[in-house]
Amino acid sequence: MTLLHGQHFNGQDSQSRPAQMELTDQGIMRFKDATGTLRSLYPHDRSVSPPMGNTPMRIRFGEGEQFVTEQIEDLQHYLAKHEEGRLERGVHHMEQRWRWVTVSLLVVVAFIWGIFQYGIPWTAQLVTAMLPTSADQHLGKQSLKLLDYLAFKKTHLSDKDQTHYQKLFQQTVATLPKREHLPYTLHFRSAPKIGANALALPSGDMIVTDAFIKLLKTDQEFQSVLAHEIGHIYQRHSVKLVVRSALLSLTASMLIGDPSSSFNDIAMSAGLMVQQLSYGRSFESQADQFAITFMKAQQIPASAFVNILSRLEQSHRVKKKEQQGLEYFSSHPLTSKRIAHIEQALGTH
Amino acid sequence: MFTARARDYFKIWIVNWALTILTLGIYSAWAKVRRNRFFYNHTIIDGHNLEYTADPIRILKGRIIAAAFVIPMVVLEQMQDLQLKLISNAIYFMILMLLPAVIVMAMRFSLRNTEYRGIRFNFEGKMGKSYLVYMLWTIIGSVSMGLLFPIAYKKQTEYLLVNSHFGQSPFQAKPPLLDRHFYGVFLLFFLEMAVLSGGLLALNSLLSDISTEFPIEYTFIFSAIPFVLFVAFFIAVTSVFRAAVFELVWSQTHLSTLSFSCDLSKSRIFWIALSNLFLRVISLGFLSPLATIRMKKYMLSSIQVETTATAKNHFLADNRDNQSGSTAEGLDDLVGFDFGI
Repeated sequence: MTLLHGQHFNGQDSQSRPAQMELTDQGIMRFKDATGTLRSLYPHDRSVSPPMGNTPMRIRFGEGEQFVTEQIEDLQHYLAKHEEGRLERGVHHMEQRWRWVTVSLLVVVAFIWGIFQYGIPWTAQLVTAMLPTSADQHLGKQSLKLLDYLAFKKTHLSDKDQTHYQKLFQQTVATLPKREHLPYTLHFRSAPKIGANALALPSGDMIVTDAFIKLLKTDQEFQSVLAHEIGHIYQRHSVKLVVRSALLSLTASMLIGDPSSSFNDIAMSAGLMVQQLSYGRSFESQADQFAITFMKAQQIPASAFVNILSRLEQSHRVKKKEQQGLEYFSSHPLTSKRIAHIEQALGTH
Repeated sequence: MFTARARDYFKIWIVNWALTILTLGIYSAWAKVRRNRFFYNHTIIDGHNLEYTADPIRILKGRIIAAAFVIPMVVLEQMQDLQLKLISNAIYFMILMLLPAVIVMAMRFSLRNTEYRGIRFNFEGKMGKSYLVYMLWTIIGSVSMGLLFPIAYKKQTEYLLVNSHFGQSPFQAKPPLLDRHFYGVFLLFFLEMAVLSGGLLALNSLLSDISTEFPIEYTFIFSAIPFVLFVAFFIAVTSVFRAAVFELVWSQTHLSTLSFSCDLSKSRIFWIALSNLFLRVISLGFLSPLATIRMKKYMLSSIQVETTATAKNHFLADNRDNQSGSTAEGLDDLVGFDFGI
């Protein structure tokens, strides 16, 4: 039999009175109050509050009465022997052992990483599949309007050149897969601020800048870039990106349910931004793959794509970003990596 | 006296997170109870600690009901379809309309599940009054371009204080809370913000002058620095504001024959808040428990209770059978409010 010393509160007034609790081997607790009166408490007469660190433990009984003791080891030992409150004791046990704490830490880290790396892309894929192509249409048309307003001017390309490239465009897209209600159209623009570039909007609108046309040396170079851009449209990358952003903010705001951590806003925005850029990189690789498939089918050599890519890179003088380590912060994989991959896939000529 | 240690809280915090994740959020109700019990049990007044007696199952039910409203609202908000967006806005509006009622229910649940020396606390605020201070006065505050907002805030704080009870004894403000004290706190806040903004604008122009020496890729770092500092200081200044209100209220709080006093240094609060932010960011959130404990410890330790030897034994319990619904508690959690003094 174990004897516990502690305080008794009767639940009626705030006075604390010294008392004792006997813990018998038969599983009965006997409460002895300040006046010496003895009361037997069977298991259903009492409930023990779950342990909490090194703080005193409470045994509740009667009408709001409680016995508070600091002899928590004795009480816990007794409870373990008589198998009471297993679940709460289990959790308390976990919180005490650093081994379990480390396991918990790993679980949390793995979970957060998993959500951002796999959970969100997978859900985005699902949601995008459910969205009709009218979403892509809408998104693309809005972007085009904005770009025309902000950065684009009327093209300076000669009619002859325009006809030539339009024809080339039609020939190329005829061989590429397309989606219902998403026709591919070619637009020419002059964009001195942007330089040489070819953009694919989700509505199927493809825009090439005059500077880009100037960089081209062969028709096959044009075709390979075209295929890459069409790859973006066909695989609905812009829409996926928008869906992912929405999911990211949704998840982030759910995880930050804790009102005491207001710092998260900053950390999250930074993290989100970086994540967004990395999604962009995987999309670029997918578009490259799309182009590679096209080039294989049309028997276009790797050099066609590789050369225009190099020229594009030089024209933008992104050499500084190409330094090792900064890749994570840029939205395109390093051009050198892309070139290596393309040459490997198609074989250098 | 606050005896909690950061390392102990960290263990509870991380196990809470792990189990919540593994149970897909169900454990969160138990996690909340464990968290509150940890803080309450380590708060010792005159040799005895507080206890949190909420039943996790009721909290879970509340959270599920709340989620049933909030999750559709958030999802629909992201949709492009105008009709769906309208439904989302309708739900949000409805929640807004119910907010004063939710506050009352949350306070009741929270206080009635707080116990000291065998006596439970209570909240007796009337619904009507809640709507008056939280809805009408908030509108008055905004309509007056913020000029009357400190008064609205004072009325809300006062409402929460005077309707809180320990057993049969109500809390009181003696002398009563004054409007001008609250104006003082708000003015201090704006003053700090003004100084802060001024300083950062100066820093910003200094940095842009320097940045012209560097290649163009690095300019964004120079513009990011003032921005990051601004956010950090803003968070710290907000903490100071909350602490100032805390000090103001507790200095004038009385409970029957008990009186409280509160003395804290705002500059210390500022420093704790700023360093806490730094700790959280550096550790990617994993040192949050330490940050929480640091702030709570300082704020709780700043309160003193004055009473006579016998008075403390003469509080009586309020034994009318009161069990409040826990939906309010659930909704609170999900939407991120934190009530209570």
